[in-house]
Formats: sequence, structure tokens, C-alpha cells
Amino acid sequence: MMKSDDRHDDQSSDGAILMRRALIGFGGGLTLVFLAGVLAGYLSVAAEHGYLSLTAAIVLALIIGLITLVTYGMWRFWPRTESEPIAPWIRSARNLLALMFAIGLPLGILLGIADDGPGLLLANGPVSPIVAATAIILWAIVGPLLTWLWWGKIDEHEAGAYRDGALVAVHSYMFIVPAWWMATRAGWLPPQDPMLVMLAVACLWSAIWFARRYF
Amino acid sequence: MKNRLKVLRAERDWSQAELAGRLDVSRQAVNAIETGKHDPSLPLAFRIARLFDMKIEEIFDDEV
Repeated sequence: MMKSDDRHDDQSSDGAILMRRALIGFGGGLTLVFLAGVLAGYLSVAAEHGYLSLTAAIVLALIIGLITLVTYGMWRFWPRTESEPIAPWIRSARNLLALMFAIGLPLGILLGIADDGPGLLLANGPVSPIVAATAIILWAIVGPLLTWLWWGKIDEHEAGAYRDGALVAVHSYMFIVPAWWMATRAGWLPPQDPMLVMLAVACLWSAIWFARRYF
Repeated sequence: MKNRLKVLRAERDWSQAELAGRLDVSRQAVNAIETGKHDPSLPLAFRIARLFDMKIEEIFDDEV
């Protein structure tokens, strides 16, 4: 008789579950942020006028209702899996990966906001020394250290997925970037942005890793 | 590569997570091996063989 976690053999794969979670989390989260913004806007307008009209009250009630509905929908349709025993090293590797995202994502957004240049950190405009120093320390010291720690904790299947991703990403880089460079010199394409190229390589690498690991 | 991992696991009433724990790999790794998406390294193949007290070739079949 097969145990419960064999649902992964014939039902949703880990990847499908993660994708659904990402879609619900991202889509629902964006909707909630949008609704929260509308709610804050209405409340600030009401505060300016010093009273709440009946129409505004109805709209506010509708927005609050929608927020409740979206929150319930996210909870209701969130793919759940039965808890399973996880080896300490797997938990440790997952925690490290989560730590990388937890540090990288908010700091990336903060650095983007802190940039006084023409826009985001990827915009190639001048940045203040403190922003540059923080980004360099994170990218060139903390990033490799966390990656090295994570690499030492994963099993051969995940290491293979990571290597496959690197192989495809580096080969894509090797074949596409020089061709684009020549096309730029011939005046056919705009110049490459090195950070956008790096981002594209990283996305491709991550996508292959994810597909190999979870599907 | 074909293998009998799923059958052997079922005979012992082990879940994928339980087998993964005994082999010190992730459940995703066990799933990938069972479905033929990942061929285990030689050290892991030996660990699997030892766990089931069988020879490697009794578990894995490289003939297509």
C-alpha cells in the first residue's frame, strides 16, 4: 500500500503546487495592495472633508468587502500539502534559500527606491556611495557566502538541477551576447545593458533549475 | 534508467519522504529517481542497494 505523499506521482507535482502558490500569492497580493491603496485614498479624502458621505461609505464598504473576499479566496484556494518529515539539512537548505530571498528582495527594492538617479538601481544612473557600498557588499560578499553555504547542503538531484540551469544559461549567454554585440556594431540592435543581460541569464538559470527540481 | 524503487518502497510500506530520510536525500530526489528523471550517482545507487539488501543491478536496469 502506498503512503499519502504518493499523491505527487499521479496528481499535482511539486512544481505545479509551487506555481499555483506563486500565482495566488503574487496575483492576490497585488490585488490586495491595489485595494489597500484605493482604501487609503478614499480614507484620506474623507479625512480632508471631515465627514463621510453615504456614497463614500458604500464604496468603502465595497472595498473592505473585496479585500475580505480576496483574502478568503487566497486562503480557500491556497494549495495545501500534508506535512511530511523533512531532514534537518533540507530544512537548513530551504531556510538559507528563504534567507537569500528575504534579504535580497526588500533590500533590492529599498536600494531601488534610495537611488537618486533616473530610476531603479538597474537604470545605470549615478548612485550615492552608501547605496553602492551596500549593494557591493551584499552582491560580492554576502551573496557568494550564502550560495556556498546553500550549495554544501543540497543533495545530488538539486545540484544536478542547478548545474543543468547553469549549463543552459551560460551557453545561451555565450551564443547570444557576442551575436548581439556584432549586431550592435553593425547598427542593427541597440547596445546591451550588462545588468539586464545578467538578469536574463539569472532568470533562465532559475527557470531551468526550478523545472528540473520540481517537475 | 528503469528501476524498481517504487515497487520496493511499496513492499515496505514506506512513503517517498520516509525513503528519502533513510537515503539522506530530498523527497524530490526519490520522486525523480522513481520516475526515471534522475539517474542516481554510484554512491547513492550503492546506498539504495544496501538499504534494500540487494545488488544494484537487481534494482536498476540500464537496458532500454
